[in-house]
Amino acid sequence: MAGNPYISGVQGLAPIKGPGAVASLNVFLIQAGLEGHLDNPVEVIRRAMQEKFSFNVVTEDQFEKDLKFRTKLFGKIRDSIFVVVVLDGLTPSLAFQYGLAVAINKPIITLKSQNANVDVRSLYSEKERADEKVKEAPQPKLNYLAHLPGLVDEQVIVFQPGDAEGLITRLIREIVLNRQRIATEILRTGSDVPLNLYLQFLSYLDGDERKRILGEAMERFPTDKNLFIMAGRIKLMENDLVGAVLDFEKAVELNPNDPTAHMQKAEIYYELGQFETAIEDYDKAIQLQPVNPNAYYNKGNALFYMDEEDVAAQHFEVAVDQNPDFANALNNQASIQIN
Amino acid sequence: MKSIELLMKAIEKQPAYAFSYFNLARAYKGMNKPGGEVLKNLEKAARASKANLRMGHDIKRNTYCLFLVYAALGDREAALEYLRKCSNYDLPLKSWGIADKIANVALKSDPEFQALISTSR
Repeated sequence: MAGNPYISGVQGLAPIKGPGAVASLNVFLIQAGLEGHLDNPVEVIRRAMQEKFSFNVVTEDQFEKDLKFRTKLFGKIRDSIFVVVVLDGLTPSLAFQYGLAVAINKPIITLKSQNANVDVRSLYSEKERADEKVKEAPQPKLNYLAHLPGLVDEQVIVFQPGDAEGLITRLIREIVLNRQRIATEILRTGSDVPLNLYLQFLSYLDGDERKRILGEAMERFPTDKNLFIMAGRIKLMENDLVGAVLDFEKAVELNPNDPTAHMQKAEIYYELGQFETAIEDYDKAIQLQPVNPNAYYNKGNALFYMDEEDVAAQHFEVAVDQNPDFANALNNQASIQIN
Repeated sequence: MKSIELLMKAIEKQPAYAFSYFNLARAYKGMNKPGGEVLKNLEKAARASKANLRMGHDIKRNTYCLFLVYAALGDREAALEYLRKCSNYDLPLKSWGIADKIANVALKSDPEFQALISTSR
């Protein structure tokens, strides 16, 4: 049963155990989720650290307002060689189902459970990796829970925000912004990086970097309509309407039963002033998803510009029926009455 | 009048949506309300649009709304300034039938207005 959202964090030195281990890593651990979904991390950490630590409880409001605190927190993250972000229980966003093991200038490793083991050999320096002992030894693993007792206590920070999901999103974004290579490195961690993790991290990128990564993702997942929708949206922002419509058409081709792809395609034709074509796609979107106030509203606009005001008014009315708070539809309904 | 009720509700739900104030001004004008109400709502529409532009929100449509507001106010220079921006944003002004939808006769016969419309999509 889901409880209150939380985020907790701890920083310290984690000795890496195993025959090939040659170092301790400065670690920052963040765990987030819903109380009751997994073991309460405060309790997990308390047990693991044998009470040898202190708590700071930080509300979301404090987090927002206290720049000094945020600077300190992100400073700690930056100073750490290794950051583990373990997120669970806050679906549907994928970032909340996977943990991310992050190291400076190293690949992000995704963790699917709090007991996941991370191969840490890749985190060693070239010199360390060249060491014969390291080469020959079995690959050391980091299981962050197992290593918690080895953490040198500094401080545990517990967030109890009302909107943990938003806070986590910002947190990850800060990490990504502070370590620009992370978002790109994640995509080089092997063939098992799931598609939705690509989509999640692409949303943190912009400019040429986003295009490059999107191109890589499309090469790896050439039949995924979400990537074509994302590519189309980027082209739309760049005012490349023709390029955008080609991407949206491809998305429709890949999944003709997806109302989103039809909506996107229709919106381009609407922008191009090709209202009849736009209406065909709005109709398909409505057919696939009958409760779709945006489709009715947009179709109403297209009809309005085709001088079909009465039919347009009917569509605005349906949009308002389906979403009584839809201000744009209310406005357009009124506008037609004024005409 | 039902349009006023709808617009009041729209404003209640989304106070930053500039077109609702613009249409409220149109509705009051159609009802022959004193000019003050019309002007007040056109000013509100302009303020809302400019605030949205400052925040980078829905730039194209808020620019278009400012064109409509200044055209309604009879401010040729300001209306053309925003129409030029609409044209730069490649809005389908011709497809939208703008020339038939504004009431400012002087503006409609303005050569620059006509040129901007005729060269648009």
